[in-house]
Amino acid sequence: MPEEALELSPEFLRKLEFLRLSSRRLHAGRSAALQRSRKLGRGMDFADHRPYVPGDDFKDIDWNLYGRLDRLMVRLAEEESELNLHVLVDCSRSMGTRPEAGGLSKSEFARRVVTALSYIALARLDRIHVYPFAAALGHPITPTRDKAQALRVYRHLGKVDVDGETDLEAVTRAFAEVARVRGVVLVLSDFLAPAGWQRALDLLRHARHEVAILQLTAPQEERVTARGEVLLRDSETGRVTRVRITEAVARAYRESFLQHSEELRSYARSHGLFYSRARCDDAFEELVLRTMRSERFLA
Amino acid sequence: MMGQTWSLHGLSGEALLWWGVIGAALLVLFFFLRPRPISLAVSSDLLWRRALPRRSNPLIREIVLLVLQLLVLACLLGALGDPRPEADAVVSEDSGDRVWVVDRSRSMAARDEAGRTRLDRVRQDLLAQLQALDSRVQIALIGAGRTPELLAAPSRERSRLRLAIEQLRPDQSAADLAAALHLADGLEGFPTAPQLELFTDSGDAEAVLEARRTDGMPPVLLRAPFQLRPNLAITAFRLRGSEGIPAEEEALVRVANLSPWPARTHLKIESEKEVLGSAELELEAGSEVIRRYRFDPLDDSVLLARLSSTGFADPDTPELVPDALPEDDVAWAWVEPVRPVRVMLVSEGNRYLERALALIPQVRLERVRPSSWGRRKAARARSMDLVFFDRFLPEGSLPPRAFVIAPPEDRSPSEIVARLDEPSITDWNRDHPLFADLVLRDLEVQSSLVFAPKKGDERLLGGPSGPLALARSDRKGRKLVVWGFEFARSDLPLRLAFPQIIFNSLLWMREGRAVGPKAGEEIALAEELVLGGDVDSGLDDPREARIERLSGLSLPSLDETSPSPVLDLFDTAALAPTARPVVLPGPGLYRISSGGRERYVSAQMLESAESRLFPLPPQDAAAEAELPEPVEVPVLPTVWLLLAGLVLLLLVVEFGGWLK
Repeated sequence: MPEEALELSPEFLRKLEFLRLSSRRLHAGRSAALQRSRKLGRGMDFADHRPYVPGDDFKDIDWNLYGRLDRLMVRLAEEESELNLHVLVDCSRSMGTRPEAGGLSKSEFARRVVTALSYIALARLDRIHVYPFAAALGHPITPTRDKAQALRVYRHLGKVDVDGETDLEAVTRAFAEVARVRGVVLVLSDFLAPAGWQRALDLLRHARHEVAILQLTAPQEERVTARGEVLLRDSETGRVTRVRITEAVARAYRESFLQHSEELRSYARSHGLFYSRARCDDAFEELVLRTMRSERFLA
Repeated sequence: MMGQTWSLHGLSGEALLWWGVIGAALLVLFFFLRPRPISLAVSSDLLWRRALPRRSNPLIREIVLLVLQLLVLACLLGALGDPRPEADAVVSEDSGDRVWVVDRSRSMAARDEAGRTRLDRVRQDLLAQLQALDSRVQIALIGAGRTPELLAAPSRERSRLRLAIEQLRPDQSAADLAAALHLADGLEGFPTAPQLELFTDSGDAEAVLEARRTDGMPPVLLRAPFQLRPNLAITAFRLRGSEGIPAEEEALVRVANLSPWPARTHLKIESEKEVLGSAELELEAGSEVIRRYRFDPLDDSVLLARLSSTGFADPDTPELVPDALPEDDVAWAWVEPVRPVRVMLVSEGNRYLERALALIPQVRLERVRPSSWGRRKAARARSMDLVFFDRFLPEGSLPPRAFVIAPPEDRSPSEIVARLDEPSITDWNRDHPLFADLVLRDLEVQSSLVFAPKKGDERLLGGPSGPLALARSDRKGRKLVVWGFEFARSDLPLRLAFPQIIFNSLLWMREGRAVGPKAGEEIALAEELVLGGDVDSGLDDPREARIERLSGLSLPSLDETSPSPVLDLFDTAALAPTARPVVLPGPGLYRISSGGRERYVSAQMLESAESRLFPLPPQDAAAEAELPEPVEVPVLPTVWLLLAGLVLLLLVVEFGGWLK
């Protein structure tokens, strides 16, 4: 199958360059990057003053303050360092669901979002590690510092089979073992794991990562339009369930879906995590440029 | 309710079983043909299982739906069957089982003052008894007719008995009461000997019952709840055609007054196109009248004799009493149309002969000039009844029936020995049909040939020199008359005998061939019609014959404004014959056709004993006892309908969404 090319408009890319990953907790990076850090030092932004001690650089002396106070004081600035972004992308079979009216599947949508985030991160000299997963954690995709490498992420994700069942807990446990550097862990998934998702996210938090949740859905998952006698076939397990969908049953399902989303949102809120829900038939550009900014995942 | 038995008062058990099987089969079939669910792929059924934690198996629901539908069906069948508990109390002293033997002879179609037939009266009595008798009583019904028929086997099912009673119809014949009672004697299924009841209007009933008493057979209760009714009948309707020429038709109608009261009636005989005769008749009690009508042969063939406006002078009523049995007031006949006598005259002109032929009504004359004689004319001549060759003789053989007058001497069919002027005629053959009862004394002839007869020739007339006229015939039916002198050269045309000689010649030539009209066959109403003979020769299977019946009982009467009569009088709905001999279903004229051949049979009640509605048999005193009062039984069918309604309501409420 020929590789699908991703068309990102120059306007969109230009907007992406103004964005940066935002973190509620600033993490220590290994090298200087365009990311804020709590570490005070020789940065560009003024943070505080301290008395001059022999050996300080004369350029750091605040001469305006000396004129007023007749005391020698040195300016202190925040030292910028790189952010590690880990993106766990659900590539289980359920992510292959496509809207009934056509359009991008959930996995294709996620692929675009991850590509955009990769571009943002690389433009800011942050590190991004993309981990496809299903029942197990896949091999990471780690693009280098060039922001053009974001397309490499797109291509690599395109080669990953959207197959298998979802086991979030196993995936996060494996991730916790391999990810030595703490950072932001963004989980892109529909969170329809048979074994649940809460334990998996707890594992990430306990590993001192900052967890962000992006729930992806398809329109038919939010609201059921079919009526009558149907055989529901689970795309991951293959299990068949016979259901007679009446108006009451459709309402009950809707309630079930909203409850599921609300549980995710409540979890995120209670732990101060980023949460957003996106439909795969929405414009992914809107998600990146607006939603993620308004939710302060991006700044 | 313990030990109580139930009986069906609606549909019979067998009918309910059939309806139940059909209904259940349809429901089960629809169950298996129900539309299958569509397959729907979902990302995960996790949310579905959360939404429907206590989902029920739809298959179980469908099975429950099927069971409920079957329950509705059972309730409806219960309502239709109308089962009722049998009454505990015996409602009459006489609660024994019954066998009803009903006379279905034609006389049971006689009507009373209210227009009901005797069979209607019996039907009414039987239905009343059926309602009033204890439901534990078993009843059988036998129809007495030409052969007895078990109409309802011993049973307690009132619905089946009611149906059999309502379907009673009169037969076409007299009833064999003895055979019907014998059938009743042999019925099985009764725990004890049933009571036999005979419903009949036959005057022979007493004799039949007396014979049974003599033989020690079980007694029979005789029921004859009928009124004395008068009847006038056509007891004979004969048609006859004369064999002479001209052929006439003669109809003979005999009307009998089969009642103790004087009667008057109007008799009419009509054909398809005209009324041939009518008369007002008055008949004393028990008397009969014969009427004859002669008429010229008709082109049409269906004849109808009918009595109408019949009234009897009952001394007890001021108004005339109508005829009780109309079936014997009409009779049909079929007459084969007369075929015209076809004569060919080959002559330059013979006015005496032509005039003599013109006097005969059925003669159709074709004149041929000798100069136009050819092969075609010779071929036509062979089909003629008679060909006159006047002073001309063709070459070759003569037609099979020829009358040669003054043949050319070189071509005479008989050897000519002389020609005489003013021959002396001394004799004529009075024994020959040509001269039967004729006198030809002193016949004057100017000139004549004298013939030498051959062996087999008959001398017709002659003198001392020999025969002047000969007749010849052979075994093949070929006939020839050779006449030695021209009619015009004698005084024969002036004699009265001349047209008779010509007439006799035609008769002699057509001897053995049908001349006059021929009446069709007649059959008594109950007789078996055997399909065979000419009309069916070549038939492998008499079931291939087609039987049609004259439609309606009336023909259009003739008046100045009447439209053209309908010639196609036969009902095109064929009555299918069977392999057995056929008994025609009712009075009328029937056409039987097969393979292009036709045959007409009139079936009627002529001289039938069933026309005698007197005397009635005396009804047994016990039979005159009043019927017991009907017992009030609880009405239950509404309960079944209510049950069916409730189950249906449950279905709609529970599964209403399924209907969408």
